[in-house]
Amino acid sequence: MSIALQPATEPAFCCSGVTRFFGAVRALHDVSLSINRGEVVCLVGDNGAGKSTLVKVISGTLAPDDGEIVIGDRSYARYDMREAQRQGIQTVHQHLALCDKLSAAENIVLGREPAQLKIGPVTFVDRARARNIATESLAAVSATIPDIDVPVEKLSGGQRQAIAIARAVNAADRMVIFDEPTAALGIKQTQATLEAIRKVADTGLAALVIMHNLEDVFEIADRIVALRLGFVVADVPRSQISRAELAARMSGHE
Amino acid sequence: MSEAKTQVHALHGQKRRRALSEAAIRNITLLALIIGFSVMVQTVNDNFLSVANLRVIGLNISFVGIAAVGAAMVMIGGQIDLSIGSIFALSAVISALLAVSLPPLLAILLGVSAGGLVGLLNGLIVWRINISPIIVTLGSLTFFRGMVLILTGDSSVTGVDPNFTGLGRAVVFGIPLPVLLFVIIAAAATLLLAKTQIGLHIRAFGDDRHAAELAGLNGRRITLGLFALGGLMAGLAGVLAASRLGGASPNFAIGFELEVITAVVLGGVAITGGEGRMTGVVLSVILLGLVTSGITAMGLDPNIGRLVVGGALVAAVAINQIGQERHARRQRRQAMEEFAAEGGAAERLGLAVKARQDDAEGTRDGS
Repeated sequence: MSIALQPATEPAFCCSGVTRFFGAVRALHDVSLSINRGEVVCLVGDNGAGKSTLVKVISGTLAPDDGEIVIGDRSYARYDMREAQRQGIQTVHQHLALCDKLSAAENIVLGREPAQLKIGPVTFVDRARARNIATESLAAVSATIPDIDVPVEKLSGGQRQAIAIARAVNAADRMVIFDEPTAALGIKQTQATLEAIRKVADTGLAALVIMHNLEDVFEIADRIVALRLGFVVADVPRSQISRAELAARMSGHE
Repeated sequence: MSEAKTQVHALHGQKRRRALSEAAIRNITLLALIIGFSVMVQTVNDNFLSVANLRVIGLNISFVGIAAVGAAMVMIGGQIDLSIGSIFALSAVISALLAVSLPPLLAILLGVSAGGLVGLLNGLIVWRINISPIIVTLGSLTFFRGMVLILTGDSSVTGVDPNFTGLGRAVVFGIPLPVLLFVIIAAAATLLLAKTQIGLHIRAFGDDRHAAELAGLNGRRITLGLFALGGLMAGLAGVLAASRLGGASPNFAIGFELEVITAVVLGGVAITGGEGRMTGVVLSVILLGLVTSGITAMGLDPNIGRLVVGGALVAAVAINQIGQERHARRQRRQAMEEFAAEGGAAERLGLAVKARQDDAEGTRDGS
């Protein structure tokens, strides 16, 4: 839909030459990555390949030692989580990072509450609109929550996952990063989450997904980026690589 | 399958009703205790519920209550301030000392601001060095009590401008001004907590600080704001008391923090943060105030009041704890029911689960 509105030449997010040391260990070595709107990019790699480190750099929670981050037509020298969020980049964390005692609606709008009335520093939240936003965001990822007013601690794992995704979709207008979204889910919930990720991309956002399970990767990815020992060892459209070849590159047995 | 799902949905509906009534049950219990206790004392001493006596009780309640509203906000935000007794005394003493020579209004404003400033300082230390607010505010409890004793030379402050008493002794529509202020502050806090962005952010931060910060909330501003607000409320209570009495004593409000925190916890605010309503806090402040003065009114040893306040604190924490355990049990049961609804139990019993069988097999083949 909105993919067509974007010039194909300008990626939603771009980083190049990203290098990060932890002491003497080089966790990321000259990593370059670019993601377009409407595209699902899966980031794969064995444990310790540098996936998490790269995601932390992209989401702004970890500064790289070297490299450039380009969003739109601007290069960001000082890039942190706040800047990432300002640029419309949101993360669905592996442990969801929801406030358990708040309702689904409150969680989804948290930090971007619709205002009803402003008196000095006090802003009254428009609760009806907050509920609408929550319902719409959930619908955008094809999720239904029986009651968006109960504390989320009373909901199941799959429902909480859906709320976390809806939250990110509502807050993002450029890219959503999914950190191992299916790691803790069963078959059915995994399917629902994969569908939700596709829906996120269909709304015109870029989706960067960190995944372990190659089956899920081949089901959802438009493009696959593989890391090994901090190097990018593959950056290919899904159709141009076989599962066996990808596994070989990830493990280094080519 | 769909039947099972409907069951799960119905279950959620049930839970919601039950969760709502937990706060309601607490409030009804508190209200029943308030009425029951008042009637009991009244039968022993028929002066207890007289207008004059209710006014005195109301005044005592309002000092604790104003501080309790601030303390409840702090605790819902996941913090705690143990130094409010010393803040109360410091603000009282500063305003009284200044009222000897400065215009009363200025003395009042400076006294209240001192409370806010000490709160802000507590917040800054808690935020900057990131250690438990219990330790930080325990330190400032002693520190500022010491400062109160030094400022007053360990003797009462007297000789204030007669107009200084205008705030604490004023009566509006037959109601003492401190009581009216308590009502207004409690109502404003209720609104703030339930309806505004600030309230939502405080609840989110108290519930899960990490998640709130990931959502872009400013933890520093929330922490500083909470402690400043708590200090401001304790300071206001202290200044009102000094104004009421027309002076201040360095021994003001010793043990005040425990009385306030007891009321807050008894009112249903989770000591771990994120949860609590102002109505419960207000009701428990009223109950504790009635108990303290009722014991004297019945001609009993006033020290029994200490037994009640101390016992109530332990009882309140115990009740909250039992509630949490019940909640955990419910979650375990819910997990089991969900498991059953998804066919997990049926599968293990060797029954066919038709809906997802093909998919599941396909997935297995692939791996």
